[in-house]
Amino acid sequence: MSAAEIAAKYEVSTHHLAKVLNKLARAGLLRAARGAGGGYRLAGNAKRVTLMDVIALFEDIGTPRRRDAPPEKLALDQVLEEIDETARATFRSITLDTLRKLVARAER
Amino acid sequence: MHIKKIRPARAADLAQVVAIDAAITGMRKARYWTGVRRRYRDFLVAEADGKVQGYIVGEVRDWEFGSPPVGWVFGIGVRPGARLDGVGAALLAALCAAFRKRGVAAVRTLLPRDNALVLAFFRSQGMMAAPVIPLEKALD
Repeated sequence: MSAAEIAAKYEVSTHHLAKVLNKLARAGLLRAARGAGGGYRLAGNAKRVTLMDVIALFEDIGTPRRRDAPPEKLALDQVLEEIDETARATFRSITLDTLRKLVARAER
Repeated sequence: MHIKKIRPARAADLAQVVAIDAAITGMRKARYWTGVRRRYRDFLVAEADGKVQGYIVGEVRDWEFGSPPVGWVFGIGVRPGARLDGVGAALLAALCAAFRKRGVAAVRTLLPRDNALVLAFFRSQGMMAAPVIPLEKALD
């Protein structure tokens, strides 16, 4: 699929999308093909690449651990860390292939 | 690889089950697996190329943890060399078929959060987070 097609489908700017695709390609998740009929293809195994692999390229899911903070802030950090750990485990367990199945199920 | 059949585990399969489990976990638990075969009705193995390629263990549990009867998967293991070949999916499908015959409407399992490989397998089979939250605390 070409970058222009992806940008049109998801209504995002081609400029921003180019940066995203470039980052995914540099991480080895996408392969770019030039010329007519070119575009982007998944480079890895869809049954092994997870949402966490993609998300981790763009943001850090996690609460920074504070050491010298009042006890109420440390307690809150502990609760937030539990939520973050659950989120990370969820993203690590959803492969691109599973996501494709979820999309197909949602389309029915 | 062609899965010859999914069938109940026999005593003669236990050495291979122990070996598969040990290859995955690094621990040989022969006595545990002998006990599993005695205790659980739903202990299935997948056979192909004259060998056990994987196993699954489960049971229908009624009203535990406040849940209506639900089928539980306690453990699943596939030979590392036989992965991505549909062995785990065939085992889970057979176990779910057995659960359905017993009238339960859902299947559930519990895994360590960091077991990404097996969590991803169950997700690939359509499983989503259950409406329960496991809790624990260290005993001083």
